Amino acid sequence: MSATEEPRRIEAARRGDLDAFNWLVLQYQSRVFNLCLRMLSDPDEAADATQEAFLSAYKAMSRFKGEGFRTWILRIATNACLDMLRSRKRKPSVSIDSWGTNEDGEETLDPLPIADLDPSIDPEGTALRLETINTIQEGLDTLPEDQRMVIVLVDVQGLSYEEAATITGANLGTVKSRVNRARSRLREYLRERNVFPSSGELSRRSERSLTDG
Amino acid sequence: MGKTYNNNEINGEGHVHDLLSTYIDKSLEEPERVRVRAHLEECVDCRADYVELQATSRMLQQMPIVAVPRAFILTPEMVKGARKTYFWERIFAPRTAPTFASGAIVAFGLLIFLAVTSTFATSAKPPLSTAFYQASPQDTIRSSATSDPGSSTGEANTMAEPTTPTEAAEAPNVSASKQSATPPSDAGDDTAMSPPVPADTPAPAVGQGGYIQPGSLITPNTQIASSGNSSPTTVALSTDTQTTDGTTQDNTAGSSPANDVTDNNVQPQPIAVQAPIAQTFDPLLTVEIGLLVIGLVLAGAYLFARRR
Repeated sequence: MSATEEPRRIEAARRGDLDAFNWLVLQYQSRVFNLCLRMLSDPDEAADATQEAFLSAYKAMSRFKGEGFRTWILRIATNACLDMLRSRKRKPSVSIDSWGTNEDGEETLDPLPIADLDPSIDPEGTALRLETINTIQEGLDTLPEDQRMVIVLVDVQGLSYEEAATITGANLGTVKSRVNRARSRLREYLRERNVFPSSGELSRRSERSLTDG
Repeated sequence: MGKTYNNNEINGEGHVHDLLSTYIDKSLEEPERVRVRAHLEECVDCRADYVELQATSRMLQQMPIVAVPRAFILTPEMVKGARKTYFWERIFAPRTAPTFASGAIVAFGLLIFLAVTSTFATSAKPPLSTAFYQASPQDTIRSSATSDPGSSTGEANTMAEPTTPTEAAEAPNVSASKQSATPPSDAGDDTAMSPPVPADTPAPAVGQGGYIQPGSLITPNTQIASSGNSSPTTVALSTDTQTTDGTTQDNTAGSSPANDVTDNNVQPQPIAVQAPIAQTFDPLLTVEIGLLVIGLVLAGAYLFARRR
């Protein structure tokens, strides 16, 4: 249904129809927020960046051409994240202790039913433990911004190299090498924290997947 | 293992570390893919790298989607002044489409109304006025009696004299006629110029210099047209409905009493009933055309605003 409705809404939004634009906001706010969350690590900053992104998008709506709306809005979102990171450097360091659990011990992470991400995620049905999720997020924070950006787009959001290249404004080869380096660095980080199962078990599991390569 | 491979080491020993990421994404070309797979089966180091890289990628994919803490929709306050909407964008927004539709309907309605009333007016008025102007001095009283009780009547009483035929010439300063001290060129009044001709003259032909019996019915559309040459002022005779010539002619009849007196020649004048031509400059027609154009423009704007 949204496949046919979206072009109409986009056209109306381009003419300044705020309701039509807000329809688009509802369609894409989850993806935008999650991108900002993985990039910034802080839910409040991520919310601010998300709001900024949609506000910028509304202002720029008249310049939106025929490209995919998702690509366009994510490009605006990544710029909003980079702006937030830049201003963060000028401020006291942000605590990321709020990640995982709040004071009441409740999980602050609230997984949605997976809707607009790649349905082939978690084919083996192994959900991550909260602790692992936290460690991975911390590992992302150690990455340089450009590597973090592409690995969130490609691995976390499941986008293609091409779309990531359009979003970040880099060329394909650059995107591939950044993904490569990001994965290596993150892998080192996780290994040092014993996130990986014992090498024996990993090897046994990987024997099967070797043939998939 | 924390060792980092350099390119030479990798290439020299056939290690495939650099290619593993692409291999994981299944983006390697066929020859290299086969090579990597073969190597992985043999090389423990590379296989360990491969395994952990693949796990890293998979775990990233398994990162949960977090629910949005709130809706990020924009409120009008937030966007106030934020977006420079060109005024024409707002004019043609779908919301304003009904305005254009209403405007178009009103314009067309006015147009029809004017068209209808002008048709009636054209047929109704002139006979009386022309009758008046064609009256001889003796007839004046009579004609004034029969003439339209409108403004022309009042003037008629003062005038008391038909304008002479010579003054049927084009009347450039018809506007001055109102005062009745107009120069002789008040041809407008002179439609009915023809001298008092005995009744046996074919009555109707106003345009032919014929004598119009007071009270005779003239259908100006037919007869005025026959004259072919009408000055704007001529039409002014039927002033009650049509100020077509645009001049303040309401009573050209009364405009030139002086002329009447001086120029009292009785030869028939081709009465310049220039109704048809005058109608070309008819301000009413201009208004009608204007309304038509406006109606069409608004209708077009309505359709444009409603486009999908």
